[in-house]
Amino acid sequence: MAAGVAAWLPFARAAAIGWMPVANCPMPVAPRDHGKRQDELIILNVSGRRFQTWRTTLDRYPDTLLGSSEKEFFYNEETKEYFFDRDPDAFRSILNFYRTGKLHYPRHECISAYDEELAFFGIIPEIIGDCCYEEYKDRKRENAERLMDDQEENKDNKLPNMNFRETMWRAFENPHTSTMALVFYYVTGFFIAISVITNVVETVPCGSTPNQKDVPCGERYTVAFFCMDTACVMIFTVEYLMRLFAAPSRYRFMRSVMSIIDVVAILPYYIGLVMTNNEDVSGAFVTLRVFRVFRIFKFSRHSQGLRILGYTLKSCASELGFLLFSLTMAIIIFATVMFYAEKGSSSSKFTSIPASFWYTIVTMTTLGYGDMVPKTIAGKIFGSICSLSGVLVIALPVPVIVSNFSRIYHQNQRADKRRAQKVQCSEEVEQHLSKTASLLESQHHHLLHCLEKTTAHEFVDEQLYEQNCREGAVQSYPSCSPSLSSQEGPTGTCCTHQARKNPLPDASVPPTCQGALQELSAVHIQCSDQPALSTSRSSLNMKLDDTSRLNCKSGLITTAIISIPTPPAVSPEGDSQPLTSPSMQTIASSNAVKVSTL
Amino acid sequence: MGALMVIFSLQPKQRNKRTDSVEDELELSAVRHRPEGLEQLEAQTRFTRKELQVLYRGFKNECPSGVVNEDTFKDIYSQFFPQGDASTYAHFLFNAFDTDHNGSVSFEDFVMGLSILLRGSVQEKLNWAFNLYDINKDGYITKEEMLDIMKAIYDMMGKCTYPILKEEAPRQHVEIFFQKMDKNKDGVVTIDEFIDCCQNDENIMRSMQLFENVI
Repeated sequence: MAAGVAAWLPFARAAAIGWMPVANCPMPVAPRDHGKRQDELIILNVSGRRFQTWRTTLDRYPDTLLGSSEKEFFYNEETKEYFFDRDPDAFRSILNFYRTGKLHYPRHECISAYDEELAFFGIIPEIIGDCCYEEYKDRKRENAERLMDDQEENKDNKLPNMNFRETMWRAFENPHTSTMALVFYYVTGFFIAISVITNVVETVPCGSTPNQKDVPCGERYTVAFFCMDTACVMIFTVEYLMRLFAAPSRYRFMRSVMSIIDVVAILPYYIGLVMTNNEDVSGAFVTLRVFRVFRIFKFSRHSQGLRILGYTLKSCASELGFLLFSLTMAIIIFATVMFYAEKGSSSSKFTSIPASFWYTIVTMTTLGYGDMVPKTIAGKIFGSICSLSGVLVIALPVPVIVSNFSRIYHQNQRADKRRAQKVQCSEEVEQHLSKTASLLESQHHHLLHCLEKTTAHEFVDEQLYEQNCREGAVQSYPSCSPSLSSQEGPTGTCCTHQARKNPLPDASVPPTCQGALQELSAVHIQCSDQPALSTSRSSLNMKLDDTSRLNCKSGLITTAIISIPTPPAVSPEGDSQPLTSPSMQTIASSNAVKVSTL
Repeated sequence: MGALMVIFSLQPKQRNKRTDSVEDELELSAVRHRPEGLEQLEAQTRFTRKELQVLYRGFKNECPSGVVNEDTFKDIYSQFFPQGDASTYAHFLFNAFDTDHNGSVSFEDFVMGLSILLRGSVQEKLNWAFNLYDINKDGYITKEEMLDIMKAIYDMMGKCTYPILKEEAPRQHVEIFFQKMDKNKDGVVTIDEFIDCCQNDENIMRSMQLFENVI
């Protein structure tokens, strides 16, 4: 709930009086607002610059430094103000967060300084507003990469206490650390080059002998080439084995791309050795030789640029895939059209639709080899449309890919952020938010509870709702009946210290597991004659109205709650942060941990 | 490629629509309203000066132009009921607050309404509730009006409820309401029947006092 809208909560609650005459059941008691004081101005002195704001403004976010009692540590008795020895410029955006509910990232600010300020004041960066979030994430990523680069450079001046294996691995990964490594690096590079050149030269026709046609060099100087090939493969095999030995995690090394390239580079030779005698598979053997060209990829260990290119392609894979798909669609369409257009003409090269694919591709990419040419008028018309559209289709994607890439990338960031806010995966965040029960939240829950009472239905979350629909069992709990005696038994003990009903919402231990089994709270209590199934609440309700305050706050409590597959209602999680600890707290404090309902 | 042509031809229309809405927004923000003085409001409502100040600050924060139009009102109210659709009920509420029926709720309207709801006598509150239910303000609540209101309230619950919301639930609720309230069984509820009946009902009386301490 935005801070601004929080100001309207009193209005929404007052308007709830409109439901009262309509309701058939008594309403739940409102949360008491104890400790209510007159609103006062407080002065925040940040390194000499004085900021003033209302106390209630700061109280909107009770889980931050300024909103909680933590700020009392900074209170200066003599000057009656709170003194913080921090950057006043960064503080501006922090204070605006309290005022407007949106956290903005000032572009001129250094990202790590800003992060430090946020951390100091207890604000999580994930709540940065959409307008500034991309910028923030970009800068953060750049910073992280720069730090990583720095770290890698520092890594080289590392510890002396490495065993032989580790030294070897370091030598392989960072050739400039020692002379031996450098020598090894250059030697392997040299042999890769030799091997590639050999493969290429092998196929060049060398001078012909008078009685034979041009013979490729490979067949003329078979022995020489074979020796060179053998030497290269020896070196590569030795290198691979050494890397395998030195790798800290052999399994991971064997799965890495570079090692697969290594293996593919040397395998053909060995397979060739084994299979030279068998004539039948010689065809396959020839194909295998093609794989020798993969040796050129071994250069990527030597070249940073190649690695970056590979990484870029990998990251653009989905966009490229989409481009390919749309091109394929266009090709198929035009090929079909051309085939049928040219069907009539005699001696047409367009013998089938797949045959027309070649024509379409050549025309759309404006290559125009001329080996297949339409002869009919219709064919020529469609052919020209094909080539015109080819120009558009081929020229468009380049900027589209670039812009698509950046747009989708940013969209993903925003979606991730929203998902992260919903799911709240980090424990820190959970603990952060679950620390104090905000008065605002409890008032909001009370309001929603009143609505439930008015309509005699309860909020549940989607999954449970679908479950209910599927089961088709609408358990008709009469909404206003006295508490179901069957539920009172084991649970009676639990709420003795609570005077009124105690709806205990769900309790997935990591509240992030929305998808996880909705666990029924084991303890419901009804000491009044309100329905026992009061675990329902809307998404925001993870708190008990007042009861949460009676128990003290401790972080996440892993009390067990029995999961029961059938309804009744379990509190849903909606799109605001699930706060489960209060419920847990009551359970913990009541010690009735493993009680089962029903 | 044909598809591309079609897409290009569609674009201009969309752009026009967008510029129109931007212009509309500009027009709306030109409307500004300043409330009457603090003393006058103090006299007319039962809030203290400080309370009025707090209320106005919150009001102005959310509506810098000083008036709430129906759409903003619906937006704000819907934020409190994320699971359902609060717009219909917000519409009725808006009409109840907009006492001079000029299409916008100014701060005076807002604060007068709140004064009745929070600081008024039970009689006044019931009067206000009756006014809310009586959609056409003719002094009678008919079954159709009540049904509309009931549907609006049930809409706020949304789809995912337990037990599953049936179609007849609002209608049944209206029947119960009329059985209770309509003493002379003439099919409508007048203000006197309404107030009488509510005053005799303990639950309702108790719940009317529920929100005393809201401000």
